[in-house]
Amino acid sequence: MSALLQATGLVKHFPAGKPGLFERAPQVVRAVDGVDLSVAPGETLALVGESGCGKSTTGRLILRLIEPDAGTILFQGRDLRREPPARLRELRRDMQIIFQDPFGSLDPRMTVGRIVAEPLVVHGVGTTAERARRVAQLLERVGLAPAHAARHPHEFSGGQRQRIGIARALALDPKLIVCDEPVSALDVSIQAQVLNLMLDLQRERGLGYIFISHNLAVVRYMANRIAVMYLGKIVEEAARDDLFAAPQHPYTKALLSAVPEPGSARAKQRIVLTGDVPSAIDPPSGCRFRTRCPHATETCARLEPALTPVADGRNVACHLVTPPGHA
Amino acid sequence: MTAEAPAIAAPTPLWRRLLNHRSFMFGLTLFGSVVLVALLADLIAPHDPLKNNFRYRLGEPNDIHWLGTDRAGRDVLSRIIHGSQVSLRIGLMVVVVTAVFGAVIGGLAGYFRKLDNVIMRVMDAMMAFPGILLAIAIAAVLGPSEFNAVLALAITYTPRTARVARAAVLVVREMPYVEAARAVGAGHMRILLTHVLPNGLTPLIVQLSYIFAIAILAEAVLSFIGVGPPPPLATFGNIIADGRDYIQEAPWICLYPGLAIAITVLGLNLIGDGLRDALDPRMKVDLR
Repeated sequence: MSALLQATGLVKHFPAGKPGLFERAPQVVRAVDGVDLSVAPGETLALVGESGCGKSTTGRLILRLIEPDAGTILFQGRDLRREPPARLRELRRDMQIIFQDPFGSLDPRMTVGRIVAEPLVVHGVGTTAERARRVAQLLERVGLAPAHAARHPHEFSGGQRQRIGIARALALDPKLIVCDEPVSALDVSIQAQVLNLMLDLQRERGLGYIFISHNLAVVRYMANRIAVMYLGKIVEEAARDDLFAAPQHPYTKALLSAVPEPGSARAKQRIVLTGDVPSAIDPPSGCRFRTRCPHATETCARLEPALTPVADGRNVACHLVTPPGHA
Repeated sequence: MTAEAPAIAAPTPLWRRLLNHRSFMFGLTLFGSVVLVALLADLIAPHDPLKNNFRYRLGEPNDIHWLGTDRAGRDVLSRIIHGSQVSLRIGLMVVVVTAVFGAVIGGLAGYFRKLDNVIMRVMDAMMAFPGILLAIAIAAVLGPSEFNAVLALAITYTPRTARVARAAVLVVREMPYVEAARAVGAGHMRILLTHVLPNGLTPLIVQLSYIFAIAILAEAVLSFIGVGPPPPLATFGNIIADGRDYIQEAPWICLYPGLAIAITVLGLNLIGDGLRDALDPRMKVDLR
């Protein structure tokens, strides 16, 4: 498979609390603890999970906005973690990010024109006049007017700002965009407009998306494949329709059962998880989900289940689905 | 095609908030008139500030010498007018030097977290000395001159400015738009200059308006104890120092330059308070 992006064994442990001058950090938060994922050109991979499960961190590790502690990231066949800083800068042209917060992610002191042109300036693309033309095109493409370039971000609504963020991400014609909860801060009525814009752009330019979200309805609309994360690990990965039709991991089942389905005749039995997400500083032994899993056995406490292929393009990490010693 | 409401109402512009801030406008008037007097010193001073007139020593205020004369018969009013020029110049230079070094040092400490501990412990050590004592010590070692006074005061107040700058940078560096700039491939220099500096500037400006006031006051202290710009040059501090032996017979020599300092410092402090309110009402500046 010629993946656009292939990440293997991503690990990020954050020190818990600030180390003092003379002491070492005592604990680590295992935010991301061995994540593999791949994205094909033109494909949308969704990362879903509860808040704090490490999905945003994973997105940032892939872009090396946060430095991974371990793992390899192959982007278009090149190992991002081995590229020297200058080459990494070049590679950044092809991978961009859209942020969750449409208010914080645009510099309030800059005009929209300067914000959208910044990627071009940083990479030395074009003359001032050419850049202005490109900014006008980009603004038009995302549904704003070229005249908006002279305004400041505070003059725009949340949805419009997110369009500005999208225009900035598109400026360098990237191949992969990490979308970190791109619509979760927007009104529901605006969400669909922005999502449709993103789908149109994907079709038009063959963009690969890593779509990070906790909103399963949105994910269902956007994704080709879905990876479900729990406490820093992927517990199940499958094509969208397979996952929604027949979730296999108990956590995925519980997540899906929480999605309201309007107009659905079938009465769903809701699987209610008890307890809180355990701390990522001291995750449970064996399977991380066992403390909240209705089917947990003694094996789950002893052995950590590996993400195992169970069908074509489908991976599950659960002893119930693939009993230990089975593979 | 965008069906969204065009925009949230823009916040009241800064200058409008300042115009409506009464104590800011009062401070601006006070300080503005001092600046005007300093700029026009050569035109409006009635006498030569250095010209001795021993026949008329310690003269009381009268029609010719409105604020009296000092021990050498020099016109106190003219000396205050010319002294304001020197005192403001020293204050301004201290502000400029402090701003540059404070912003650079504080900016580096706040942005590059590995430097933080080292830089800020050095700054803390400098701040452990009471400000004016440190300035006196440095000025005494360097010798009395206008340049050395500026240097001593700048060294003294740079750590305080650096601390404010660092705090501002710590806030701005975590903003999503800084991460956005990194994602785009922007280098540290670009991020510091185009994103961090403009967005972290406001607390620094407030701090600097207070530093200006404190520097003028501190210059007077340095001159008073004889480690400031040497006499016969007129500065607020020098005039008072000249008059201190005659405070019983000729109180006007000390009184009027003292008033001039009070007006200048009050004006600057009101400006600082107004800026602080207008820029961010929650911000508190702690200056000891």
